[in-house]
Amino acid sequence: MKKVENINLGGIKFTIDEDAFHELSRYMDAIERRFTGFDGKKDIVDDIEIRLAELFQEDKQGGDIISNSKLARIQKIMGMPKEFGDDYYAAETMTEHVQKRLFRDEDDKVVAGIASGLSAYYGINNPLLIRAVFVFFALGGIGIPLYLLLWIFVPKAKTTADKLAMHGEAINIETIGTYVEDSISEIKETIEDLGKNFKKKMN
Amino acid sequence: MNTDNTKAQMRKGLLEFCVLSLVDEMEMYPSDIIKKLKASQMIVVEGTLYPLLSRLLKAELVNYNWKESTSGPPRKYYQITDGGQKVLEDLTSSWNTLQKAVNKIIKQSK
Repeated sequence: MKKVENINLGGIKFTIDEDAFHELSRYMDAIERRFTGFDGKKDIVDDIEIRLAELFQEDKQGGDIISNSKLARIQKIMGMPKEFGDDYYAAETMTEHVQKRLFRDEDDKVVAGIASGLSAYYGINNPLLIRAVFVFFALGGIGIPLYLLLWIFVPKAKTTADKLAMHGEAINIETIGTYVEDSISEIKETIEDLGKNFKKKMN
Repeated sequence: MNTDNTKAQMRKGLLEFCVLSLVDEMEMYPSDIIKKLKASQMIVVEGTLYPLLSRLLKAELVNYNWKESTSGPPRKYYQITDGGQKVLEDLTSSWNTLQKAVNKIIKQSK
């Protein structure tokens, strides 16, 4: 015996059993999340809902009540949100997962870039946290030798490829492109700053 | 070598072109578009079509009208716009060139 619910899917009334109801809710939530931030999100989600309703109507197997097995058949046709591969939006799903490597990040260093390298490696946004840990250990006496050892054994991120691997980003034309663009704008800013300082001094 | 990814990339690159061609012939309801695309194995899961349609809509290459349906709620019928037709012409000529070029290379290497 199972409890059933009545639902309105894409303007059509369906009877669905409790288990399938929860699974369908999760599925619809995942679809919504997949399109978060898209301009046409409402249209996309509505269209998918309408299509799901149609697929449920067409599926005559196992009676009218939507069960988990009926739902699974329909999900197979519609696909899981992560498979909705319009590359234009889902560029990030195309990049391969890259093995992260530990480097010293000299672009963001206080001493030798160990803390910022470690933060990149562990995906921590702010290296301040790691720095605080080092300072804490330094008080106990092991922080400084530990830091020196890491300084000796951890290579510094020299090339763009190193820097991408440090953040675990795949090396492809796009990521290198973004990286180079970022670097160029940084260089521009530095030059502008230098120019300003120079002018100030001249005045 | 696993060629699945290469094949998927080929299909993806041409999907937009196929959808524009379909709605150029006549106005279509998403399920009709899906049936055609599935019949020619252009899509694997149906969900792929919707973000693509939304993108074409936003770029004003297609638009839609609501139409009453005999078997359920009203349906959205998509059709190509003038802008969409221009893009389609451009894509058609580039597809023809590409197809010839690839065939030529394939023949030469045989």
